This record gives sequence, C-alpha cells and structure tokens, in this order.
Amino acid sequence: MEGSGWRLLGRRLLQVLPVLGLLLVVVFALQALIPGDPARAIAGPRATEAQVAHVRADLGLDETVTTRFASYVGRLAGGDLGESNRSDVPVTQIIGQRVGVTLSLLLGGLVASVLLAGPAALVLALRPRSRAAWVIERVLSVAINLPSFWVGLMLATVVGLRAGLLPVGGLEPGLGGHLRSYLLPCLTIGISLSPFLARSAATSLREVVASDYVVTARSVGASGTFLFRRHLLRNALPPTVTLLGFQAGALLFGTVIVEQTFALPGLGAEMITAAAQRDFPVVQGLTLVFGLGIIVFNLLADVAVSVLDPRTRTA
Amino acid sequence: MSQAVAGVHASSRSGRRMALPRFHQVAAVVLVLVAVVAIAAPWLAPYSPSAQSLDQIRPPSGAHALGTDALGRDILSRMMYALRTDLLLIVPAAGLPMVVGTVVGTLAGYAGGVLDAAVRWIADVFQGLPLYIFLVALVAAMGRGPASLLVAFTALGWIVYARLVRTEVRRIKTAGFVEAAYLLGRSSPQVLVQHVLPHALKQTATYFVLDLGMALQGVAVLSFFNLGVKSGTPELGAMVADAQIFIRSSTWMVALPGAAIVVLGVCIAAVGDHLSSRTRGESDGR
Repeated sequence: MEGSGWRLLGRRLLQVLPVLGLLLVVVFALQALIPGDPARAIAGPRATEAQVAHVRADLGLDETVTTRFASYVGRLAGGDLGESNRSDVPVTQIIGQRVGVTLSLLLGGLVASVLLAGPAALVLALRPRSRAAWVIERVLSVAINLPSFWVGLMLATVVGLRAGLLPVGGLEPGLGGHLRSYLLPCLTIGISLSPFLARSAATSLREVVASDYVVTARSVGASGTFLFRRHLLRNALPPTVTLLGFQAGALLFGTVIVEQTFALPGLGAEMITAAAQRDFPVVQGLTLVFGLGIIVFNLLADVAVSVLDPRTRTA
Repeated sequence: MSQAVAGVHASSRSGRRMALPRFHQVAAVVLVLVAVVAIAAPWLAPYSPSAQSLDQIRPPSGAHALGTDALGRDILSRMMYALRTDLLLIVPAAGLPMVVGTVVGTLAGYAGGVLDAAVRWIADVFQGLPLYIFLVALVAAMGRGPASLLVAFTALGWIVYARLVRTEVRRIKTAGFVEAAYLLGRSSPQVLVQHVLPHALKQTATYFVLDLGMALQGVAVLSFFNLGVKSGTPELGAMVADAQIFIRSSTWMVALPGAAIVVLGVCIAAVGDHLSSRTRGESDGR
C-alpha cells in the first residue's frame, strides 16, 4: 500500500468515529431496557443483597446518565468489560478463549462463499443463455431464502449423521480434526452468503463484458486469460468487495448460527447462552465486540477496494 | 429495452413454457393459501396443536398426515397454527418500521433543513448496526417476546423507508400537480396526504413485502435459539429447534417445518422482487 492508501485509511477511521460513538451509546442504553432493577439483573440470580448493592454502586445508578456513560466508556478504555454473572469470569477472558473459533469460521465461511459464488457468477455473466445459467438462477433464488440454521441441520444429518463422513458437533482434537469440524459449518455460511455475492459479481461482470474497452481488446485479438485477468477481474471485483462489506452483519450472524447449530465454542454460541440465561454483562460485552467487528470488516473492505481500484483513492 | 428483447428470445426458444403461469403468480397464490390456512387453522386443523398423546414421534401416517412430535402432538395441526403465530409476528414486525419510516421520511422531506440533515445523519449511523445481533441483545435485556422483536425491527428497519419516502417527497413537492393543488388553496397537510404520499406508498409496499421475508427469518432463528416465542407455542423455528435432538432417527420432524419456512420465504421474495421490478420499470419509463 502506497502513501495515499494510508491516507485513505486515516480518513475512513475518522468517518468511523460517529458509528463507534453510536455503538457505545446503544450498548450502554441496553441497560436502560432491562425491566425492574438493572443492578439485580446484572448481578445475576445468585447474587446476595450485598453484591447487588455493590453492583448498584459500580453502575452509579444514582448518578446522572452522562456521568454513568462517561464511567462506562472509561472502564471500556481500561479493558474492563465486566464479569459474567454466572461464573464471575471476566468477559474479556471469555472473549479471549472463544474469539479464535469465530475468526476461523469467518475466514472459512468467506472462502466457501467465494468458491461457491465465483463459478456461478462466471457462468451467469459469460454464458447467460445457457441451460446452466438458467439452473443457477433458480438455485440462487431458493438459496437466498434458506434459513441457515436449517441448512446446517440438514447438512449435519445428510453428510454427518447418515453418511458419517464429518463430525457434526464440537471440535475434534488435532489440526486435522479441527479442519474436519469446520468444514460443514463453513459450507453452511457459504451457502447463505454466496447467493448475494454471485448475483452482485455477475451484474458487475456483465457490465464489464459489454464495455467498450473489452470489446476493443477482443477485436484486436487479446487472449481469453489476458482479458479475464487484466479487465474482467480487476473491474468486477471492487463492487463485489464493497457488497461483502455491506454483508458483514449477515456474515457475523452466520457464525453465531452455525456455532449454535454445530455446538462450536465461539463468541456467538456464548452470546446465545448468555442471552437465554440473562447473563447481561456477557451479552453487552459481546454486542460491543460484534459491533466493532463489523466496523473493522467494513474498513478492511474499503481498503481492499482502494488497493484493487486505484481510482477510488482520490474520490 | 434490452430486457424486452431478451424476453422474446427466451420465450421463442421455449414456447411450451410460456403457457404456464409465471413464478410470482404461483407464489402469490401460495401466499394467499397460507394466509387462509393461518386464519382458518382452528377449523382446518385435524387436532388441537397442544393435545398430547402416547403416539410419540410417529412418521407420517393416515391418522397423522405429517406424523407426531416428541409429545405426541400432531405435526400438521401444529404447523397450521405455527403459520398463524408467524404471520401475527411478521406482519407487525415489517409494518411498524414502514409506518415509522414513512412518517419520519415525509416530515424530513417536506420540512427539509435541519430536520432533514438530522434524519439523514441518524440513518447513516444506525445503518451500521447489525440487526440480528442487536435482536439477541435486546431479548437479553428486555426478555423474550414480541415486544423485543418489534423494537429491534423498528429501530433498524425505518431507515430504508425514511430514505425512500424522503427522496420521493422532495421529488414530488415541486411537481406540477402539487403546485396546482396549492394554487387551488389546499393546505400543506392536505396536499401531503392527497397527492404526495400516494406516490411514495407504491414503493414502500415493495419494501414491506421484502421485509416480511426478513422478519420471518428473524422470528424463526430467534425461536431456534430458544429466545423467541414462549416454549410450547406452535412456531416454525421453534418446531425445528424442538425436533433437533431427534434429527438422526426422525429427520422429517426437522425437515417439514424448515421446508415450510423456505417455501414461505421463497414466495414472499418472488412477489417482492416482482413488485420491485415493476415499480422500477415504471419510474424508468417516466
């Protein structure tokens, strides 16, 4: 990345600040939605009166909202996300133990999506009249409506339980076991994300194929692979990466769903368990982490676009 | 224009297919049928959705067309009632954002200035929030139930409508027939309701249909996480979740309610896409 790339990153970081601020406000405001006594809810059902009083003092419920918000942000800045009210384990420690699984799923899910969407988009854009394109169109319009928890369960049944080919719950030990355990979850994420990607990529590919410079390059006898690498990929990729940024929320929630479906010990499964048990500090901390994740993902998408397409750097 | 040419090509190549009804028409019929079944569930269902029996986990048979679940409840009856539960949840979950967004968008577009800028800024910032994760967090804070669902969908769903209606209102505000209405002595609210809003509503209807699909997925996945409807309530996602532990021996128990979600989702999307391509075509033609 050249100097202009860094400058762009700096500018994007500035644009992110209001989003970050709102995220903090929303996560903080979740407390206000707790019916009854928030101190009791946060301390949890096992807490003694003294502990509830302690939490109330910590939250500063008698102070003004702005003071409380300031002290909340202050604690966050110090790396303090509170403690689980089930186990008294610091939320940061829970995140540290589980973030690896979620990141692996994100990466694997992205790879699976690209592997599924890429060929589909190429067929749709380059052979739009073919029988294969017709079939792909129909498959995509169904796939876009598949609930991914159901896809995961069905994959688990057919590939995992019936055929006994792959593990369907938890992480198997060892690197090979880990890889095998991640295969079906990542495929599930891929199936739910790839329809969006394939459609967007096909649209941008079609535009490029019809553009004057490709027609010209063809007419002067440029080879297929040269055309593909030099013109098609370069120009069709940036809009698709931008779309991927928009889909960051769906991608992250996809990891939540498959962690729950395949019993993987990641951040999402923890959030669902915590929400069901009203473990509010954990839910609050994880909401913040997921929100930050989306902001970071969008930044990365922006940077990737600027690397792929130099024209966007000055814009 | 190019689409019309492509259409001629496709139809001449497969003339036999032309006689069949179009996909969105079939989808619309399916949706009407679903609504009828949901409304008439108490009369149509062969059993009570909560009646338990000793015939537990039976595959489809003459007595129970879609089999029975772990408590011996009739799955067909439960699915009929589940459609009722789901429709009663997703219609408000998609409708409330539309109402809020339309009101906000109309005010912003009509008033302009500071209000307009503020709404645009809030919309920009809110859009970065992840809907479903926000949904889970809200349920954790407020407790499970329809209220959390409505709040979360409205908090994030109004943006699309507000943007759309705002743009439309600003565009139409200066149109000839609106200025004519003013000259005839109509007041601003009258002009807004009689002339400006009907134009904007045509497009919001499209989004409403597509949002029904989003809400359906949201309701189902929350129930699957055991964060949605109260346990025991017949709901499609909850039925999938309840049957999950029997998936190896009795796959149909998971497959059927899941397939119902898929069919419903595909039909909603087909109708929504058709509406959106029609409204887009109209505004292009103008």
